Amino acid sequence: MKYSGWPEPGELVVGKIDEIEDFGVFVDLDEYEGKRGLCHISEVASGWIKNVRDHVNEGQTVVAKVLDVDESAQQIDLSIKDVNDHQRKEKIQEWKNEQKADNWMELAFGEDLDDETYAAIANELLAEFGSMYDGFESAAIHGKDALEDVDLSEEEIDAIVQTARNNVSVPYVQVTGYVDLSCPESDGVDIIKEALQAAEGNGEVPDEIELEVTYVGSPEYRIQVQAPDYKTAEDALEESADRAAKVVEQHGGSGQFHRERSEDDE
Amino acid sequence: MTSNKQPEVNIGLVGHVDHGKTTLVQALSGEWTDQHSEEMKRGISIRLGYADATFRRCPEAEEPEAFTVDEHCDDHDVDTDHLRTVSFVDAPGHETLMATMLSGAAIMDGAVLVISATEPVPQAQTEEHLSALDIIGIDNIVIAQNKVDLVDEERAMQNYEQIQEFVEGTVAEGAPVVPISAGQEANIDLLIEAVQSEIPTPERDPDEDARMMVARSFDINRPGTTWDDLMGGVLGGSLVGGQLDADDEIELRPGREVEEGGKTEWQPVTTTVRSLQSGGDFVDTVTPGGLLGVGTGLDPAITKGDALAGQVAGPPGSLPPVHETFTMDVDLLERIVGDDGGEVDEISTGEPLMLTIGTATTVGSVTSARDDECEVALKRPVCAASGSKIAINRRVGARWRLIGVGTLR
Repeated sequence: MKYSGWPEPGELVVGKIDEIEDFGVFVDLDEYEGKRGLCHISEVASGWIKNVRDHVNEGQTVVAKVLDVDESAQQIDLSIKDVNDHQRKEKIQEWKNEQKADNWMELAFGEDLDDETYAAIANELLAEFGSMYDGFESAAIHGKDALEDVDLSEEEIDAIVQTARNNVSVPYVQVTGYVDLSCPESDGVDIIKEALQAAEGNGEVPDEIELEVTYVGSPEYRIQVQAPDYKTAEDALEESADRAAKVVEQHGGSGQFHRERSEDDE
Repeated sequence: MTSNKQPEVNIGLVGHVDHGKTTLVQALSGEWTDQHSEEMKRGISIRLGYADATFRRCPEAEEPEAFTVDEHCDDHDVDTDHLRTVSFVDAPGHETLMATMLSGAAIMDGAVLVISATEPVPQAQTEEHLSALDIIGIDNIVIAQNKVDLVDEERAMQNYEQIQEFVEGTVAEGAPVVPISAGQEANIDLLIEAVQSEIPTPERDPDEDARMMVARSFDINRPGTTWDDLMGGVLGGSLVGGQLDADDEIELRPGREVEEGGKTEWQPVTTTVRSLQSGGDFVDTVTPGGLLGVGTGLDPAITKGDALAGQVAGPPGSLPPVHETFTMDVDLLERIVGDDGGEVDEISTGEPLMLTIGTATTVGSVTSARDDECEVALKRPVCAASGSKIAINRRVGARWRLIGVGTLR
C-alpha cells in the first residue's frame, strides 16, 4: 500500500536510489505515491566524501530520515547517515511486513479490490493497530476478538481472520515450569492423569495458547506453554499448575509448582 | 531362549561377588540381570535381578545332553519339549549388599550356589550366603563350580575337595557339585539336570489367600510421557500362596507413613491389580512360583525407586499383623560368618540390629535381651506372621554381619 500524503519530518522512510549526482542522491520513496526526496552529499555518510558512488549505488534500497518537507516546492530533504543500524533493520522489517500485509489484503479481498475499499479497510487497521501487518498478526492470534472494535463488516472480518490464520507466522514465546503431584489414593494414577488433563486445560485454553504437560520423573511433571507474549505465557503456566494441584488436593494429595527442575535424587 | 510358560519355581543364584552368578543367569535365560546404571558401571549386582528360563529336553538325545534352554535342537533337527519354566533371583554377592541378598532368599524355593574354581573356598560371601540359606530354611541346593575353563584339572579337583569340606554339616551337604563355565556355556545341560532333580516345584494350595512378597517396586514411565499414556506403579516380587487375578483388590502392609495430628503412623495402601506379568508375558492370573510384575493403580511416585520393597500384599484384611516392636526367639551362630570369623557375643540391650523378615529389611534397637529371646523396637515396621524367620545382623566394624536367626513370637 502506498500512502497518498506526505511524510512527516523525523519519520524513517524506505526508498530506492534513482539518480546519483555530484551534490547528492535522489531517492524514490517506496511508501509514498509519486514522492521523491533528495539526500545531500553531506547527509549520505559521515566524514569527508570524495565520491558519492563509493557509498551508494543506483537501484539500492535505503532507509533515510526525513529532515524537512516543503509541500509547496514539492521537496523532501533526506538523511541516510542519521539512520543507525538498528533503526535501519527495524524499518526494513516493518516495510517488508507492510508488503506482506499488502499481499494478504489481495488474498483476503481479491486482486480486483477497488482503491477506495482498500483504503477504507487499510485505514481501519492502521487506526486500531498502527500498521496493517499488526492488524493481521493480531487477527491470527486472537481471531475475531481482535477486530471487535474495528468498523468493518462481518464478511470483511472473516476474510481478514481466515487469511491471517493461513498466512501469518505468529512470534510465539515459550516458557517452562514444573509441578510436583502426588496422590495416595488406591487409584492415584488416575487422579494424577485427571490433574494433568486439567493442567492441559481440558480443551478450554484460548486458541493463542499451546499447553503441553509431560512426565519428567515422578512426582515431577513438566508444563510447557507457548503464547504470543511472556505475560500471557507466565499466567497460563501458573494457572495450569494451579488446576493440576487443585485436582490432587481434592483427593488428599499434594501439588506444588516450581520454575526450575528439581535436582534428581535418584 | 525366551520362556513361554509361567514360571513355577524361584531359584536363587547365590555366592561371592564376581563368581559368575549374573553370567550364569545370562547363559540360562539369555537375559543380563544387571540393568541398574550403577551395576553396569561397577560390574556387580546391586539390586535383586530377575530373569526367567525355560528348561527343555531334546526328545532324540540321551541325558544329560538332552537338557537345554533352546527351543530347537540343531544336532537332531527337532523342536525340544518344555519341562518347566523357572525364575532366577540373582542376588548380589558383594558384602555390603547382604541385606538385599537376604530379602531375595525369602522368595527362593531352592538355590544354586555359585563357587568360582579360581579362588580358595570359602570366600566371605560364599560362607555368608550359605548361612543365610540355612537360616531361612532353603535346603534344595545345587552347587555350580564355575570358571573351570580357567584352571587346570588338578586345581579344579582341589577346589572341588574344598567345596565338599566347606559344605559338610550345612544344608548344602550332599548337594551335587556341577563343574561349569557360564562364560563358555559349558556343562549347562548337566546343571539343568541337577536343578531338575534337586529343586522340585513345591506343592501349592490354590485356595488359600493370595500372598505376595514385594521385593522391588518401580515407576515404569519414561520422561516425555503424556498424561494419557501414564502408567500406575509396578510391584515386583513373588507370590508365595494363593492366586492373584487382574482386577483383584489388594492391600499392602505395612503401607506408607502418614503424618496426622502431629504424629506419624503407618497406614495400609490399597489398590487394584491392573495388569500381571509373568514369564515375560501379560497374563490374567498368576499362581505361586516365579517372579511377577503387578501393574497397579497407584501413583508411580509411591512405588518408584523400590519404595515399597519389603511390603506384603494380599486381599484386604487377610494379611498378618504389622509390628513396630516384637519379641523373637533367638538362635545365634557360634561364629561370625565371613573373613574374621570371631565368636558371636550375646545380644545386649540397646544395641542396633539389622533384621531381614521376608523381603523387608529394617533396623531395630534391642529394648530387652534375655537368654534366648529379645525384644526389638523397629525403625520401620514390618508385616509378618508369628513363626516367621528373621535373619539377624550385627554391626561389626564397618558393616553388618550375619550372627543368627530369630523366630517371631
